[in-house]
Amino acid sequence: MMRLPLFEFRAPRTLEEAASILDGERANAMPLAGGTDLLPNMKRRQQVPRMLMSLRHIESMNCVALNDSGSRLGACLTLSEIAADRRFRNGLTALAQAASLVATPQIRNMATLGGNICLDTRCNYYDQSYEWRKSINFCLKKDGTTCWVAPGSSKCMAVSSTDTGPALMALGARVRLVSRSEEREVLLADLYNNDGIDYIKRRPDEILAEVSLDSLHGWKSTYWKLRRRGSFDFPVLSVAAAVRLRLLAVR
Amino acid sequence: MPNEEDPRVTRVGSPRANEDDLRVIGVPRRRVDARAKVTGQTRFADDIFLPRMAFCKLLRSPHPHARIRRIDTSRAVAHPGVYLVLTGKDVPIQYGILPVSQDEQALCVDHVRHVGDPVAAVIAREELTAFEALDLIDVDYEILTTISDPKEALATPEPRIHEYGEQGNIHKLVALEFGNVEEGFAEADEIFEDTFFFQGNTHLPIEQHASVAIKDQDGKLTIWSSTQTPHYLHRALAKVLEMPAAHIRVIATPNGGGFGGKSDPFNHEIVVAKAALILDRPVKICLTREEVFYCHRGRHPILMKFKTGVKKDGAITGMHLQTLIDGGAYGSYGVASTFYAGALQTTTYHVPRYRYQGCRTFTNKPPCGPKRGHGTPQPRFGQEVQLDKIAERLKIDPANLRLHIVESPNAVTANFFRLGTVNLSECIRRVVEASRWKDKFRKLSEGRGVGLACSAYLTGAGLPIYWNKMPHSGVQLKFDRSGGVSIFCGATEIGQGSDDVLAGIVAEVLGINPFDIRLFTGDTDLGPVDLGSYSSRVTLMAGNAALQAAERGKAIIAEGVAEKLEVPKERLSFADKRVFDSVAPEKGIPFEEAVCIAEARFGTIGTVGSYTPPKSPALYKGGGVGPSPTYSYSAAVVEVEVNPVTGWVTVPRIWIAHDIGRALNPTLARGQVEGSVYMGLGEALMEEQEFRRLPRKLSHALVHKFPSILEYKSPTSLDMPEVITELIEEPDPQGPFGAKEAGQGPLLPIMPAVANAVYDAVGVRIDEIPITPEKIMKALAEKKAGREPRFGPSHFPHINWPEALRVPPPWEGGDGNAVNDVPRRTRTVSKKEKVLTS
Repeated sequence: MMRLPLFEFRAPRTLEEAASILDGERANAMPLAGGTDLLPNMKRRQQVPRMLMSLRHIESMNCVALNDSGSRLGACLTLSEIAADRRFRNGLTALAQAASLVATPQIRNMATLGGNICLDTRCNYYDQSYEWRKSINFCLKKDGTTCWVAPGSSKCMAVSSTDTGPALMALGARVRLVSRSEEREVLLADLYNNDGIDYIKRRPDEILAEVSLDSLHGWKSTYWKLRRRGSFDFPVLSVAAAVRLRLLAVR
Repeated sequence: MPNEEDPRVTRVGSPRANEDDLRVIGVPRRRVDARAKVTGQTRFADDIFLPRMAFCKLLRSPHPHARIRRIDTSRAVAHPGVYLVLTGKDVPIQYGILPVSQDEQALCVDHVRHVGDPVAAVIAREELTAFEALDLIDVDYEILTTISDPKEALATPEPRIHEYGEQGNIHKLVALEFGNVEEGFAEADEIFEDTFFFQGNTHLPIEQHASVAIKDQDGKLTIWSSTQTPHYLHRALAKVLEMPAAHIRVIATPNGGGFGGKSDPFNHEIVVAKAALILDRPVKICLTREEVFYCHRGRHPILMKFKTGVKKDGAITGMHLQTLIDGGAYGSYGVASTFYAGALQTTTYHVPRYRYQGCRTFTNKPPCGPKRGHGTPQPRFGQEVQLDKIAERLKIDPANLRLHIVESPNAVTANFFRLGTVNLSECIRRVVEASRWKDKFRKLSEGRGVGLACSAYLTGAGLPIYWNKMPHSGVQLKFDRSGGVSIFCGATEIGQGSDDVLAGIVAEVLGINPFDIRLFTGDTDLGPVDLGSYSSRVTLMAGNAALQAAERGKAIIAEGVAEKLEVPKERLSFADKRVFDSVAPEKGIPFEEAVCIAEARFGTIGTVGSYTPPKSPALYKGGGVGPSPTYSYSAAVVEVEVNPVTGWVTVPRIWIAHDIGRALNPTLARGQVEGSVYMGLGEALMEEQEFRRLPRKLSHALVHKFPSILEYKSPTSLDMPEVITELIEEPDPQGPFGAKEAGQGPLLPIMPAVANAVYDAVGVRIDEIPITPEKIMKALAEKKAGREPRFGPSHFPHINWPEALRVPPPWEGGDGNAVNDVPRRTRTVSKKEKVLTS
């Protein structure tokens, strides 16, 4: 079978502790939530962090706060929790639908909201084992010099496959990024870059701790996903929409 | 032990006059290995852990085609934790499943032929260490021209991928003609010419191949492996390791699915065996999913051209089939596959004159081989889609057309295959009725459609892989004083239920419960040879052997009991764990007491049974591929919904009727049918073993597009339609209790039935498998533009075919020999075959 490379493992209890570890390790460490994306990638040697820092033991990252003024979702909520929780209905339907359409039940039991937002970009030349990539002399995103999707391109063409991302963007979500020195909140729509390698504005020393949403009272939302089969598949195309209908008085 | 019978002459068929007597056979039952499977206790090869066990990883070629100039393993050998590094020179002897294509080496010595071809092995204390050490092996390659498909292979005779074969990169050419096909076409009212392409796909068993080898205390070798063919692996190991076969024990662990993908002897099996012998410690390998894609041996991509002449009523007057087959980098079963691709066209509908030309080429891709249906689903797809076109042009309902031309029971076909029971008409009638075909065909709203197709399949290959006159299957039974019965047989449980078949048959004959039986199967030391779980042969062949052994045991026990009860032995019945007077059932004794009486009378009781298929009338060269004791038949109706805007196909329902002879355990038989439907649907709609060629100016690479279960799309349970299965039971005289196969045949009609249904739904022909939304969109665009509403190949390339062997069919007085060849009975082995088999 495919084996993980050896790595050091840390499991901080607080966000402060986690931010401090990342600050010291910088690019050597990667935060680990459900591991459903990162661990297979490590087996394929797409990422080989020296240290994995688990976020699952940070209590604040597993919390949900829903009230009239809006909602705050901990980044370590699992996709199963989001899909099953009846509170994620009405205005948040798109999010619940997106979460329920990710991969398989087993993966959704482990995979987290934050992990799905930060999902590494995907490409059929990149999401391959070390040996496979060796036989194409690697690619621009990792260890090589050519983007095989567009050999003339200087930019990596790998794309995001997050399901919850579009849903949350339609809902106007913001994410809270925490590092040792600062805390900032950015609109999810602004989190991503149009580049397969430098695809996310989260810095290596930052933790995506929380997703926040304004009150969605009166909103309706939906998420549709086109995929090759009924389960266990990334989207070929996905569409999310959120609308608020104002009823005009009819005489 | 009374045994005057010639062991080679096997009694077959149903031993019971009155089938109402059956207590086990035909009763839906929990399979004997179900408990272990559902509680996770089945021990697969990768579940085996032994003290001091080392782990093996293989270094594989990153190049599709290259010469190995030099291998330097010194850095890997020096790596901490590495026990051993092997290269090709350590195991140089060539092997292969077929005697005519011994073209593989466990580790390539000087020539790599596809990305994934193994060149070295590292055996280390930990699997991770072995993996890391692979990168420390330095291989100097000289890159050769990449040959990526059959057309390139035809155009590129040099460099040769192999030094043997017909010429250049053509591995095998076949040309056979049964009757004068041109005369057949002259008699026809209409001639149809159609070209089809069937993309390659792979088996995708859930269990990856794994093997563990040890050197036993006495210096012998034992290997546990996920193999469907322990006997053939046994022979290959003896050859390559240059060890007496008697010193090698192969144990086929239960396979987590095989489907033909574990039927070859594999390089990793030989490597761990060699390493265990050298290191004197257990050595294990478990392939990654990607490596399973490199083992492959899956469905051959086939380009094919059908030319068929028909009368106005649909009767076929002649058929000419040409195939161009992408074999991949090695022979594997390919010679047989090439013949199979032309073999079964004659077994469903009466074809009075038939010509087959087949060409298999080598290419720089993982080798193709036998996948469920072995070589026959591709031409079956073409034949059944063409029949749909014929029916439309002749304005005959496709079901009625088929009913009109179905081949007769017990017929000998144009290519000299002797059929057994043929209930294809009944299969067609049942699915037509169940699906309400008459209300639906050409009558559903735009976007919805139904399609029908049929098939036939062998119930066991009539000949073994290597020439010999011995039985194809043997069973030994041991009768214990406790009343327990042990079955010893080489048959291999690959999930299909072969253990349950053996237990069911023996339990039925002896009147005991299948759960009272112990099974020792798939072990070359413990049980007599069974050739393996391939060609749908186990139920019939091992089943008949088990039946014979059980009947012999029953006779011995009856002899003893008759004396004791003072009842004529003919009057004794065996049922409900008792042996009793059938006229006065209260007069009887428990089965265990009956065994004791017989043991006291005759000594230790053990019996044997064996099975050899009947001789085939197909005596011409190549006639060894296709004959079978009997054939199964299937008919399917598939309903589809095609979205005309997106080309998306959904399948809400499938009706399938399968002519099984008799379902020994209907639960398992239905499982086999539904499993076939599932796999067929995957092939029809999404599965593709696709390769990626990078821009040639920049790279010679030729890689598997996505060797993973995620990206190699196969259906999930959510994609599975409702399947309405009907089993048609007319016991076949050749099968144990009349049973025929169910594991492969029901897959075959699914792909063409889907294609025919898509045509009924949106009026476009997709003459290519898989039928993807993109292809449907292209065909719909053609239709809109007023051109031929079709997607598929338009051209079959020119091939220099050899002169066909001309075999007059039975109705022209043929005797099964070719008129332009030396009669086979006196034919000497040709020089080429001698070289390859030596």
